[in-house]
Amino acid sequence: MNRFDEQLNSEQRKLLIDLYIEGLDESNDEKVAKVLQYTLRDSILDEMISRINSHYAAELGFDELAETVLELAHEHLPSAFKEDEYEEKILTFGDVAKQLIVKNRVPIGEEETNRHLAENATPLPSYLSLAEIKRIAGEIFNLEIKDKYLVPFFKEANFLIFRHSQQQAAFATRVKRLQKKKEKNDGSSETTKNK
Amino acid sequence: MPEQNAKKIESSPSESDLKASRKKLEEAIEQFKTNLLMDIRVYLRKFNLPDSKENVEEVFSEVKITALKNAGNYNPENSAKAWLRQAAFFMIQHLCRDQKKQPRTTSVSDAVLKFGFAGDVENASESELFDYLEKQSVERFFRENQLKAEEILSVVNEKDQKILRLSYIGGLNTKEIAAHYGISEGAADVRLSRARTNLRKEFLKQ
Repeated sequence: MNRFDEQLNSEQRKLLIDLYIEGLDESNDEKVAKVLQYTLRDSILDEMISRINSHYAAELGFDELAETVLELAHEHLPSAFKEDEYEEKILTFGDVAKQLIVKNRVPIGEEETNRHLAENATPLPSYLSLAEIKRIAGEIFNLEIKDKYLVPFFKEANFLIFRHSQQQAAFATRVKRLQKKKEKNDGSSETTKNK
Repeated sequence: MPEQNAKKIESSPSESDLKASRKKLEEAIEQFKTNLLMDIRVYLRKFNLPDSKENVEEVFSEVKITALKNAGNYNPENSAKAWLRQAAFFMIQHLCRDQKKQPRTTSVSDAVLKFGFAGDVENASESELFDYLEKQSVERFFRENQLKAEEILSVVNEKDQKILRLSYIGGLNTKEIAAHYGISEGAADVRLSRARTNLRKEFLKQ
């Protein structure tokens, strides 16, 4: 079976990315060449390689080039960036429970409750309070949440809401900056045309 | 004989196919010029070759000429951008070999040998290569040792542990990891990949 003809799966892509990064970090041209073969037929891997090269360009101090590439990609491949994702993303009970796992903050003995919530996509209430979380957990999930779980959950939920609002603000600033730059460029190209 | 000739005609691209390939490549060169210049500069630097603006431009011109000359080898079903990047890399690989005065060894068996494949390297196929790589898959480590996730993570440093925990235990994707650290997705890809490589090396040692 020649897997070169098959569509890659996400695990194989990760392995190839590891090989590519190892190749670049060790200056091993064979590893890099091997991975580039697969980008011909796999557009997702190709986009990942572009993204990684942009990062290397920035890391090596070629900021200007990396920024131009990102701007061009925004212009030609808007779907790859999904700019309004932050605006649309709604935080869920699952997001908070996952975050507790990530930070190793699930209280001992509460793993089952947390696992249950981690799989849930119910949005967090607009008014967040300990009582409200307890009520929703009881009514919707039929779960009795103990205080030792409720407190870290509440703290984490507040942290996520705060971070989310910061990301929204940063996103809005970036969009504004890009718009201004585009307006400026359009203006200067108009002037050149008129000349 | 006529049958052989028919096959020959079928396998070599027609004049119109060649024209179409060349046109697609020309358009891609124009559209992705900035990307290619960036890729070339990154590769030149990473392979310790001079990466001045003039050098980058020179390699780019060479790639352009060579790519259009070899347009017949390009399959229009494949990504033109990826093909051009590969052509640029071959050019740099060639320069690199010239500088080191090393013979070109691009066969799969040589590459597999470098990765540490212990099987019959002379006859190693693409499929064997993937089998070998998959044995080192970090996903596999976690899948097969679900209850020992923290134990697995303990073999790497805290920085690597944190990003691997985000990805493999927390289930965050690259975009979410990038947002968590406030870095670009490319940077998140690289950081995660280096952590995976460290884990793989340490885990396989044990």
